[in-house]
Amino acid sequence: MAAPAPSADIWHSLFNFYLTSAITISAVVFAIMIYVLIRYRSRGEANPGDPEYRIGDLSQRGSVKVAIALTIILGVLFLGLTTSTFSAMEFMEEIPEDNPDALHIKVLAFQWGWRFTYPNGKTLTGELRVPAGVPVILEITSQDVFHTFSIPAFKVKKDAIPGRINYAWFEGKYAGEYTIRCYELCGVGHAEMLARLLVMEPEQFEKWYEEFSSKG
Amino acid sequence: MEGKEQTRVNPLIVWLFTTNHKNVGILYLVTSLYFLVVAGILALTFRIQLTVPENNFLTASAYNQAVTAHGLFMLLWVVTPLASAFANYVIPIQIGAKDMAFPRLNALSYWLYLASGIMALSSFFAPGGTADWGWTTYAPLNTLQYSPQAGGSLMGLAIIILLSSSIVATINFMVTIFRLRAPGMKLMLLPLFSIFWLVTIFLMLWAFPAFLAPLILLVADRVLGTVFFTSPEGGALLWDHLLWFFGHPEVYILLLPGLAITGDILAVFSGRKLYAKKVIVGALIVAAILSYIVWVHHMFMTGIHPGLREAFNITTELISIPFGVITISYILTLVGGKIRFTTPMLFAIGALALFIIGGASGVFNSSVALNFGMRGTFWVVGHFHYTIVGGGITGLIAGLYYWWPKMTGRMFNEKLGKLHFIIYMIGFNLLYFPMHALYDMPRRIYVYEAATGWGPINMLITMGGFLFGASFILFFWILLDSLRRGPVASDDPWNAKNYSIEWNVPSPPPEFNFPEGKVPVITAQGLEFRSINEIVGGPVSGISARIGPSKAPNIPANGGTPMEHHGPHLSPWPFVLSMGVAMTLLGLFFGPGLLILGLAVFIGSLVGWGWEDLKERFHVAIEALGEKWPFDKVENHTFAMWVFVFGEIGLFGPLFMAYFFVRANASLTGFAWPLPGQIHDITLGALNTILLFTSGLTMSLALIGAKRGEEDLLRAGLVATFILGAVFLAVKGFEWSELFAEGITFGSDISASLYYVLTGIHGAHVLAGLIALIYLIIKAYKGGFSPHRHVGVEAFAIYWGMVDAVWMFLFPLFYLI
Amino acid sequence: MDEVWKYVMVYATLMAALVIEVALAVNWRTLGPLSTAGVLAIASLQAVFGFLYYMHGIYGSRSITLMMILSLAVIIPLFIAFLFSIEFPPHITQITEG
Repeated sequence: MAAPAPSADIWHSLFNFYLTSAITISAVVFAIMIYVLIRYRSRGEANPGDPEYRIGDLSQRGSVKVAIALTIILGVLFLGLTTSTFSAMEFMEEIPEDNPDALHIKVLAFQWGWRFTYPNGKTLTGELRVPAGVPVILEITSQDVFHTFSIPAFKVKKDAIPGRINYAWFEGKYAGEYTIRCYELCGVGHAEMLARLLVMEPEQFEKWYEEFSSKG
Repeated sequence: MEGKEQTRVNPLIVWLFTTNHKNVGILYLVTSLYFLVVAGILALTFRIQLTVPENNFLTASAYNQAVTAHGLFMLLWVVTPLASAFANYVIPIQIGAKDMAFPRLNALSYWLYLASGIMALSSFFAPGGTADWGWTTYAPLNTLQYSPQAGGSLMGLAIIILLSSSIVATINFMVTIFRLRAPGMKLMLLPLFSIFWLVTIFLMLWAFPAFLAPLILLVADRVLGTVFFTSPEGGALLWDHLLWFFGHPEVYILLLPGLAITGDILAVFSGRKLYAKKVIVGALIVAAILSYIVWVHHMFMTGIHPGLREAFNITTELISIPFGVITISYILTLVGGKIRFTTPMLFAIGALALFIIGGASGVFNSSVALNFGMRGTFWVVGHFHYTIVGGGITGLIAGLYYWWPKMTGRMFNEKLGKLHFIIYMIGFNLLYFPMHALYDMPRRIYVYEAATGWGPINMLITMGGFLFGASFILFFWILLDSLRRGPVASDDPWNAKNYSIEWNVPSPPPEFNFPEGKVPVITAQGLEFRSINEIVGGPVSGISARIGPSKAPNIPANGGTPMEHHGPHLSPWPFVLSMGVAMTLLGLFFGPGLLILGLAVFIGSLVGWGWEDLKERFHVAIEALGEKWPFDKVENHTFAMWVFVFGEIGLFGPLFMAYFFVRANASLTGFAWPLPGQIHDITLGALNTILLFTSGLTMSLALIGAKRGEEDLLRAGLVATFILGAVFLAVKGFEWSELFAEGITFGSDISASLYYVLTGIHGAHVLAGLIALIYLIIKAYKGGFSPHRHVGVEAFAIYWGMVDAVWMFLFPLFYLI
Repeated sequence: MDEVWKYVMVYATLMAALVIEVALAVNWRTLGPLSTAGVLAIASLQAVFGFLYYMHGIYGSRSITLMMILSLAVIIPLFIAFLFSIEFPPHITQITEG
C-alpha cells in the first residue's frame, strides 16, 4: 500500500520492520515459556518434596556467562534496532530549507482550531491548501496552551508550544483530502480541534493561490 | 490480630491509633482497593462514552475530569499504596524485624495518604469540578487562566500531601530495611520483593520530591498568582521536564513491586531457586539508574535539541536490556522445577506474559522516528497499561492471593481463583490489545467521527473493559467469601517456609511477628529463632551480627501496663495530625470554619506528639541486633534525617534547575533580570546570611554540649539558634513587606515569582526548624539529653546544616548575580 | 576547647568567604561572567563546608557521603536536559511571530 507522503512511506516501513521483529522475538519467548510451563508442570501431589531454595543460602544458580551472553545479544538487537531509526528521524526532521520551491506556512494553534498563514500574509482557519509534490515547511506555535499538530495520514507530528516555534515539513504525493488533528489534551475542545488538509494538483493550487492573494 | 494485651481496647480505637506495621498494611490494602474501585468506575464511564462514534453519554468537561482523575488515582492512590500494603505487612517479617523503624511515622504515612485521598475525592465537589487537564497536567493548560476550577488547585494540594506521605514512608523503609535486618540477613539473602522494594524506595527518594517541586510551583501559580507556567521563560517546557523527570522513575516505582512478587512466586511454586539472582538484582539496579535518564522520550516532539533526543532514544532502548535479562531469568527459573499452578502462580505467569507484550510495544516508543506516529495516541495507552496494569497490578494481585492466607489466616476458593484468572486475562487482553490498532486515534478525545473507522475497535475495547471490571467483582467476592467461611490457613499453606521468613510464623503473625522473646537468626544452615539474650550475650557462631548499642527492649521504664489507652503501640497523633492537615487544606476551599478548626487540630496534634515524646509514652519495640550494612555506623534517627536530607536535594535540586532554566531563557527572550542590589537589598541579604551562619555555629556548639554532657552549653546553643533563626525570619518578613509596598508581588514577573517561592520554601524550612527547636529546648531544660542520648540534637543539627546550605545558594542567586 | 575552636574556625572561614563573595558581586562586577562564576564557586565551597561541618558529614559514615554525592548526581541529567532545551534547534535562525 502506497502511503500518501514520503514521511508516511518511511514510517510504515520502519513500523513494519519493528512489528516483524517484535512479533518474532515475543513468539520465541512465549514459545519457550509455554514449553517450560508444560514440560516442568508438577505431576504429583499439591506439595511436592523439598524445594531447592533455602533461607540463608547465598549460593547462586545459573551461570554469569549466560547472563553476559544474554546482555550482549539483547544489546546488539535493541541498539541495532534503535540506531537504525536515526536516519528516518533525520529525514523526517531535516527541513528542506534550501529547496526554492518549498512553501512556507505558519501554523498557529489555538483553543480550539488551527490558523494557517501563507507567504502572502493571508490566513486560512480550519483549512490548509497545499500543492502536491512540493515540500511544505511548517512553523508551528500556539497562542494559548500546549497542542500537538499532526497529519496522521502523513505521520507528521510536532508539538505546538506557546512561546516557542517548532518546525515540521511534509509533502503530499497525490491530490486528496486529509485530516489535521491535535494530539495533546488542550481543554474541552480537544476532540474537535480538527482542520482539513487539501492537497491539490499544482496547477489548481496556483490558480487558487492567485485568487486568494488578490482577494481584498 | 492484635496481641492479647490489646483485646480490651475498643477495636475502632485500635484501627485509628495503631502503629503496628501489619495493621497499617491492612489499612493500606483496604484503602487502595477502595481507590481501585473508584478509579475503575471512572474508567468504565469514559469507556462507555467512547464505545460508539459521536456518543454523548458524557460532556467534554466530565470526560476530561474522569480521564484525569482515573489516571491520577490509579498512579498515585492505587498502585503504590497497594504495593505499600504488602511492603508494610511482609517486609518487616521478611527482614526479621518486629516492626518498622518508626512505627508512628508509619501510621503517619498511611493517615496522610488517606487525608490526601479524601482531599482528592472532595475536589470533585469543589466549584467547577476537579482537575481536567489529564494526569500529565501539561502547562499552561494547568494554570488558572485556562482551568479556573478550584478543584484543580485542591487536587494539586492533595498530590502534595500524598507525596509527603510517600516521603515519610520512604525514610521509614530505608531505615527499616538497611538497619533492622535479623542477624545474618544479608541484603542478597532477602526475597526479591524486599530487594525490589528497597530499589523502589531509592527511586521514590528522589523522584517524589522532584514531582513536589513543579507541583509547588503549580499550586503557587494557581493560589498565589505566580507566573512560572504562564511566562515564556518557564512555561510548558519547564513543566514537561520536571514532570517527566519524576515521571519515568515513577513508572518503575509502579512496576517493580509487582515484578518482584512475580519472581518470588515463580520460584516458590516451581520449587526452584531464582535463576541468577545476582544478575537479576544487578539488572534491576541498572534499570533503576537508567530510569533517571530516559524521561526525554516523553518529549520527542517538543522540538528540543535533536542530539539530546537521540541520546535519550539510546538510553531508553538500553532499558530493554536489563528488563529483558530479568524476564529471561524468570523463565529460566522455572526450568527443572515442579510447577504448581495455584492461583497466585497463574497470576504471576500472567503478569510475566503481559509484561513481555508491554515491553515489546515499548520498544516502538523508544524510537524518535516512530514517535511521529505514536505520540499521543492509543498505542501509548495500550503500551503503558500492558506494563503497569499487566506487569504491575497483575503481579500485585498475585501477591494478594499469595499473602492473603498469611494476612487473614484464611484460605480462599482455588477454583474461583482460577476462574478469576481466566476472566481477568480475557478481559485484560480484549481491553488493551486492540488499542494498538488505534495508533492514529488521539488520547483523551471524548468524541470521534464515524468516518475515522475507530468505532468497532472501540466497541471491542469497551466490552473488554466491562469484562475486566467484572473480573474484579469476582475477585472481591472471592476475598469476602474467604473471610466469611474460608478454611483456616496453616502457617505455610504454599510450602514456602524455606523461601522467606513470613511462612515460618503463624497466620496471621502475632503482634511482634516472632515467638515470644525470640528473634530470627539466619545462619548457613537456615532460619532459627533464638532468644535475645543468646544473641546479646556474645558472638554466636556463624552469625555476622554486629550488636548495636543495646536498647532496653520494649519494657516501659515505669513498668506501666501496656494496656493503657496510650499504651506502647497506640498513638492518636498520626491520625489526628493527618486529619488536621486535611481539614486545614479543605477549609481553603469549603469555608474558613473548617480551616480554623483544622489549624487548631494540626497545632494541637504537634503539641500532643511532642508531649507524648517528652513523657516517653510511646515505646518502639524494635532492637537493632542484626545486619546493618552499609549503614552500620549511623544511628537510626540520624540516618532517617540523612535520608530526609537526600530527599530535600531531590526537591531543591529541581527548583534550582528551574531557576537556571528560567534565567537562561530570560537572556533569550530579552527579559530584564534585576541587577544585583536593584530590587533585593544586598545588605539585608548579607545580614541574613550572617545570621544563618552564626546559627549554624551555635547549633554545632549545642551538639558539642550535648555530647560532653555540658547542659549549659547545650541549652545556650539551642536558645541562641532559635533566636538567630527567628531574627532571620523577621528580616525576611521585613524584606517581603518592603517589596510588597513597592508593588512587587508574587505575580509581578518571573524573577519575583522565583524569589518569593524559593525563599518562601526555605523560610518554611526555617519555621519548621524553629518548631522543632522549641521541642528540643523544652527537652533540654527537662534534662532529656545526655552524652549517650542526644540523637534528637544530632539529627536536628543535620537538618539545620541543610537549611544553611540551601541559603548558601539562595543568597548569591537572588542578591549577587 | 579543640572542637569548639575548630567550629569557630569553620565559622570564620564561612564569613570570610561571604565577604569575598559580596565583594566579587559588588566591587568586581566588571569581571562579568567571571564574577558570576566566582560567586557560584564560593557558594559551592561554602555548601561543602556546610555538609562537612555544620551537618557533621565529616564524622559520619562513608556511605552517607556516597549517598550525598549520588543525590547530587541525580540532578545532573536534569541540568543537561535543560541546557539543551534552551536553544532552539540549530537550523532555526529567526524567531517569527505566529
